[in-house]
Amino acid sequence: MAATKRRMIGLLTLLVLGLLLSITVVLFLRERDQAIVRFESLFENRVSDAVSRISVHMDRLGGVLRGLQGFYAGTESVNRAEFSRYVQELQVELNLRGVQGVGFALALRTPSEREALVSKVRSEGYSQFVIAPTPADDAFSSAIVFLEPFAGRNLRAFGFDMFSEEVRRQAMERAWLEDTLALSGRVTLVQETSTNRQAGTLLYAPIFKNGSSHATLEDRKQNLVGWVYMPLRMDDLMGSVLAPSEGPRDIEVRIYDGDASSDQNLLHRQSTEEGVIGPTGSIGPAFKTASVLELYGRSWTLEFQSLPALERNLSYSKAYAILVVGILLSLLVVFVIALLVGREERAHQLALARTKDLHKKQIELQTERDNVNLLLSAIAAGVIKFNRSGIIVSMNAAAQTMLGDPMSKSAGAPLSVVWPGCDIDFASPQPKSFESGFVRSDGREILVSGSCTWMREASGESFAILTFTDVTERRQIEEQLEQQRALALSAAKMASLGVMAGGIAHEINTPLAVIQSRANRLIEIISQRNQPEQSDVLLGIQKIEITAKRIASIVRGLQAFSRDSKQDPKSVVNLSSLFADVRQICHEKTQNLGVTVSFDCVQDVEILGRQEQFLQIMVNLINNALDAVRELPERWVRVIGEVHGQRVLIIVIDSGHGIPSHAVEKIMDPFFTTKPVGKGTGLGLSISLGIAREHGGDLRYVRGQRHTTFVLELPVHSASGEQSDLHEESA
Amino acid sequence: MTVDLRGLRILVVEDDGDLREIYIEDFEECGATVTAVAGGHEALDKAQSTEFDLVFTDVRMRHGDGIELVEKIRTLCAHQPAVVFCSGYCDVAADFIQKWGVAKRFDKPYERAELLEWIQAQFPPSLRPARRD
Repeated sequence: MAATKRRMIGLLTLLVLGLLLSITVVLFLRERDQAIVRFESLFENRVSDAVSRISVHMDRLGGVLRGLQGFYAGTESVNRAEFSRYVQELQVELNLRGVQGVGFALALRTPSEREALVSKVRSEGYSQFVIAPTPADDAFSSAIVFLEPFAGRNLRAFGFDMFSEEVRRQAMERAWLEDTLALSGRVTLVQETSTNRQAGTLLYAPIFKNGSSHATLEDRKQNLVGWVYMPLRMDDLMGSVLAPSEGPRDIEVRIYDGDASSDQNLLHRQSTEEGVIGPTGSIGPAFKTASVLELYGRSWTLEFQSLPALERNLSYSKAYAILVVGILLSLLVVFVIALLVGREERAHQLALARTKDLHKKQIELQTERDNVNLLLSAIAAGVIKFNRSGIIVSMNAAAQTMLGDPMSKSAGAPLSVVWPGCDIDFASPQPKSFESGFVRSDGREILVSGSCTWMREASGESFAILTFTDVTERRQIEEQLEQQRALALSAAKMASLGVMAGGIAHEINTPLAVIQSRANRLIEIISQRNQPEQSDVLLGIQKIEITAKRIASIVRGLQAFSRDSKQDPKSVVNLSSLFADVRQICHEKTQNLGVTVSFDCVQDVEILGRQEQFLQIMVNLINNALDAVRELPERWVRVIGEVHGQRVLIIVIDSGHGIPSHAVEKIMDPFFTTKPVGKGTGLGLSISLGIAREHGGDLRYVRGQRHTTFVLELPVHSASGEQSDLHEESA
Repeated sequence: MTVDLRGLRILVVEDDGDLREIYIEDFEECGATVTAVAGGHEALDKAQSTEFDLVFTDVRMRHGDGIELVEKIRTLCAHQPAVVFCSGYCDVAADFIQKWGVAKRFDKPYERAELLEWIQAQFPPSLRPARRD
């Protein structure tokens, strides 16, 4: 669309330019034509001026001859002196260059007339006078008798018979026979010398006998006396006639006798002394014109041609000025149009470029936004952005999923409503890490861990970015790992304790054997002597023996407890013997604390497992019970063995009143203990539970009982003969 | 003393001197011929050079333990005596006792009367060859 518009504007501009140039050219051509027309009229003017000058001058010359005719008519006989005087009177009129003179030629009909003339002239003192060329005897002839001014080259014409020459004779006859002024054709005057030869003509007027009639041709033939005439040197004459009043000649004139067909007819052409002749000048060919002038019975063809001096008047400067100004104006207009259009176009282009730029930036911005959104939606961590009022601005998909109830708790809600437990201090923005429990709308409790970062946007507003991850599962796994680690640690501890206990047992048992055997031997010896006064000694030695046995019992218990028996093969354990072992192990402690411990095995059954581990569990339970009741007024512990189908329940009840409800949940957790620091590891129950589960059983606290009650549940062993052998072996 | 161990040749192996002394006193009082050593290596030498009816040995000892001793006696000696363990720590596997023919394991501290009566029961006086020491 823009391109079409641009093309339209370009076209219009070209159109305007074309129109303006056309107008310019038209004006230019018209002005040039006018210049030519003006010049032509000037030229015509010059031409008509020249024509009229020639015409007027020839008229005047004719007038001179008519005057002479009159002079002759009024005078009986004109002599030389009279003629000369008359002509001198006319000197003003004749004072023109080119008019060679004014003369009189006498007509001579017979040889006698010729002789009479010759003798007469000779008698006047011109002894050399002859008529030349000598005419034939009977021929009609003439002779120039008078010729003023009678000097110089005119002397050469004295006595010349003009009638003898064809061109002159025609003119002379015409003048004579028609009684008129007659102009001759082109001749070379006899006055001409070898230098500066010019074409010449002669103008004749007839002189008839005084008082005679010359009305008819016959009269005229009879009465002719002679001719007055005027020899004209054409170049001089025309040079004089056409000489401009001022400045150089500006037109060239060629005068032909008759038509302009031949140079034979050329009477006059502008002499070279006047300057360059010919088609010259800067502007085109010279202007030419021709006119015909009828003069005394002859037609002169006058050819005119402009000369540079005139052509200087032919000025195209105005036309060119119009052309140049027109073109400049046209270009200026187009330039202005182009400028305006260009400016609009540039503005348009600029606007277009800006629009494009803006569009590009928008796309970039959108892309970036999309990237951020994609990133936010792709990451597993929850991200919430909220402002300083605690209002949520946005949150990503992970945050919505984690917090549950996706849509209702998104943007616009206060964080405190969406997340009641989140303790971000909006008043004093500080980056902080947190770990917080969160109860979802579906009731599931999750544990999230994250951090809060404050940032200031370009707008100046502060926002907080809350990033967090759901660590519930991770925490569970961590706890499990911790439990396993604790179990492993405990096992290792027990193993090393077992090794140590073995060493201790070995070291103690040997001296113990010495003590016991020695005591036994002493008792034997004293008994054999049968001395009553030594009975107190016997009693003392018996006490030593008993104490040694107790020490042996304690050492055996330690051995049983500390053995790392996890790797041991399982064997069949008799419930009653298990109880017996436990009783033996705990005997010392219960005695010291003054706590009554009763063992009640309702039904003896066999259990498949590791006796040492069962011992460990039971001793642990009893130790816990003893610790719990030692400060109580009522101090007892009851251990009951019951069989329910395929399950053995070993119930340990003490005189305490249960475990505080807040602690019940955690008693099986590793390292949870209510005992004073240094008194318990917090591992007992958790290890016990692990062992029970490993044997396919369970260990649990029974809620809601009057007294503190723990139940160790183990599967009953379906007995067979082989396993009873094993049992005996291990017993 | 009612226990009669006369005619029995007993090798006592015990690294504790006090206990060794008690064993010697008790067995000799019962009429047995007692040879006592402090370790397994020494005991093996004795067992190879002398015929014994019973080797009465501790398990954990500094110079040759009881287990090694039993193995050596069972593989090296021409005359095979009965072997009884008397251990301070019951770390001997049951299958070992069966394999090498250990007649009995007593745990320290042992019942003196029980021990002596068990030996007398194992070697009844009527079956003992009359021997001049």
